[in-house]
Amino acid sequence: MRRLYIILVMAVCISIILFVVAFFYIDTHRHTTFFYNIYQNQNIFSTARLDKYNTEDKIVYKSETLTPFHSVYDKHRRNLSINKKGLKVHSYNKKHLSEGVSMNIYIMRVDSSINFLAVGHSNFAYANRLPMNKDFVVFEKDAIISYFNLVDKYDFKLGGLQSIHALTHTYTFLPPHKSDLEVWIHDEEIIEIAGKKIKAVCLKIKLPDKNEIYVWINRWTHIPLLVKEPRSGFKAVYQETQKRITAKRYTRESDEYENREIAFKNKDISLSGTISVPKGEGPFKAVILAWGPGPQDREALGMFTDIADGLARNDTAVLRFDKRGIAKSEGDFSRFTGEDLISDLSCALDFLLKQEEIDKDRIAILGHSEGGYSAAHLAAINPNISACIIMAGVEAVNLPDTDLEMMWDFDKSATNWNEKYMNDISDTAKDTAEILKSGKDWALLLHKRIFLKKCRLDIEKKSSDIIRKLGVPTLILRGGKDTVTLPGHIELLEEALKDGGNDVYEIIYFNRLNHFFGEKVEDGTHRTHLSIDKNVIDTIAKWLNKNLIVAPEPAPEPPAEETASPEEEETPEEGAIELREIEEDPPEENISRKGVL
Amino acid sequence: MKRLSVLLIILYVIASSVSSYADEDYEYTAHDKLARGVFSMITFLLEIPITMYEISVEENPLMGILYGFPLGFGKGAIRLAVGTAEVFTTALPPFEPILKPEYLLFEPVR
Repeated sequence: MRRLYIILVMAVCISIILFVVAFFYIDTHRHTTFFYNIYQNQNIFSTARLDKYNTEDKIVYKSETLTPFHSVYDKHRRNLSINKKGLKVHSYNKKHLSEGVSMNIYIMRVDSSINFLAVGHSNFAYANRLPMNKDFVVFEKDAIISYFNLVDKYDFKLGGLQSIHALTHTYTFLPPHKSDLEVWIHDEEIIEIAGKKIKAVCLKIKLPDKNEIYVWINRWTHIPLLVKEPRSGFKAVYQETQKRITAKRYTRESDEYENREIAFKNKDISLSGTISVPKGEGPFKAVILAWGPGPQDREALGMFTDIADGLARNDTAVLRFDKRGIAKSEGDFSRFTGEDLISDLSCALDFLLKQEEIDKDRIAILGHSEGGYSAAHLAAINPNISACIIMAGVEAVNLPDTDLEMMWDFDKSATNWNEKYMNDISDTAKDTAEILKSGKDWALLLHKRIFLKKCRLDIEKKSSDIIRKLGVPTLILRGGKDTVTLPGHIELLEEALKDGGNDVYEIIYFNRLNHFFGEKVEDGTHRTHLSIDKNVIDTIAKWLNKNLIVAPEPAPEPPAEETASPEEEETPEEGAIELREIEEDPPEENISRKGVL
Repeated sequence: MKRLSVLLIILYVIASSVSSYADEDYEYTAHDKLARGVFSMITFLLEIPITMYEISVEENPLMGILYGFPLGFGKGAIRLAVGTAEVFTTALPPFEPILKPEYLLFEPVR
């Protein structure tokens, strides 16, 4: 009996060894790895590893791009599965990852159509069977995996100019865009890659926006060696090993204020942040910052770093913190709803009220984009908020996107939209709404468990109801070049404020600025971040000084005519007006103001 | 013995009707059939790691273990049965392969 056990154990051990050996053998023969360095404007931006697997029926490409310079995500994973028969795309999966956060895109071929699913944190979009009659490649110009797919599809025997149908996914919650790429052999030359001279074929790709991309591929193996898009400064270069690169975080410090790391609790969840407190004698007026959509930390792509710095220099304490489940804050961002967000902001306010150096009667809240809604909501329900600042509206109309990198390119990609694509968007909206009709919190789509609650609550929420309840002084800022919120959105906000009887509001347009009130900065040292225009911060600081004033000693009320200041006398009831106080700094045409002061 | 004979006859009937995985440009011979049968009988267990590997690549490693093992085991059993049948019916046509791939781990050069 004992001998039998020994034999059995030996058999199991030998089987395991054979299995492991078989795995290694199979992997060696069916798997190849390639490395690339990716440059943006001469600076190294990311490094990519691409694995190619040959299975019985499919060619599977898997890539992982490390992007320490990306504004939000550290890693981008892509999987592309191609049927060997006819080299048809079977499925495509894209994942953007950062600390505890992921954004997933799934595209799956079903007969002559595709299924599309986007899961961005606690949001989602779904399209069932979008028509896709033609064979296609998946093409994203900054993803090295796309060039493998494209080179596979180009018929070298036929040669010449070939039109290849492509699917490009740009906006997280919008379906992939269909277009045609023109590809042809441009040249043959010897290029030097990784210290070796290699005979290469140069393929030229003409994109629908007329941009041209050059791809040098190995003459014999057809492996992409060098990819260049001269106009955008994008370049991918083949490497023999993967290089490790790091980027610094964008921070700002000054002797005029102190940045303190803080943490407060919302029930069991600990939320971490930074409070910037001016040096000198308090108590100081204070501002809580509320972010726009997506996985944002306390810096909000550098926007809050700049705002906190600018306001703290102007004797204002600023509290900013990481969203639930992001960076150092605890919680699950994939089940995060608008209600949780308001609750977290409310706890931040409670934290501020407990601080000795903060003047409890002079606390304001500032929200950017979707954060404008959160800010208005808290200001409407909590009497401890004395003023509210709404930057760039209260919601992103028609763009439930959280991918800010893509938003910057919105104008360019929008020009390629056609009627067919608008139909795809419409179908996606319908299919997504159909899923939400179930009223459930969870659903199973394409074998993935999807959280529905946030999406449903977002649709049900009515921002105008909240704005009507907003009784505190309110400042609304809008960039004239904002392509995310519609211009009419601000008028609706104003109407709601008037309906609610709020007569202490001001609307300021920064005509040359966009949704983010600043520029994207790619300096090759720090993570990609935003630099907010100084005029915006100065305007906020001045407005806060004017509206968050220390309560005066009670005095007998003088007659109404005598109290009116010269400024108030000059102010017309309605319409855009220029104010003298900001004329000297920015050019007059860049800022216009409107409102009842 | 009687059961084995019945099994072999069934497999032979299947082999006679199924040859969809055959290389259309190549004329198979009895020699190919014997070589294929013997190789299948020797390597049938490799179906398990190969299937596990492929599912790991196409889906994920967890699926590779949980789903790949039983599937690979089943495919291995079929390969053993088919290989045995091919060895015993070497001289009888058809000579085209039944299973895909013809050989595990490598592709024959023709």
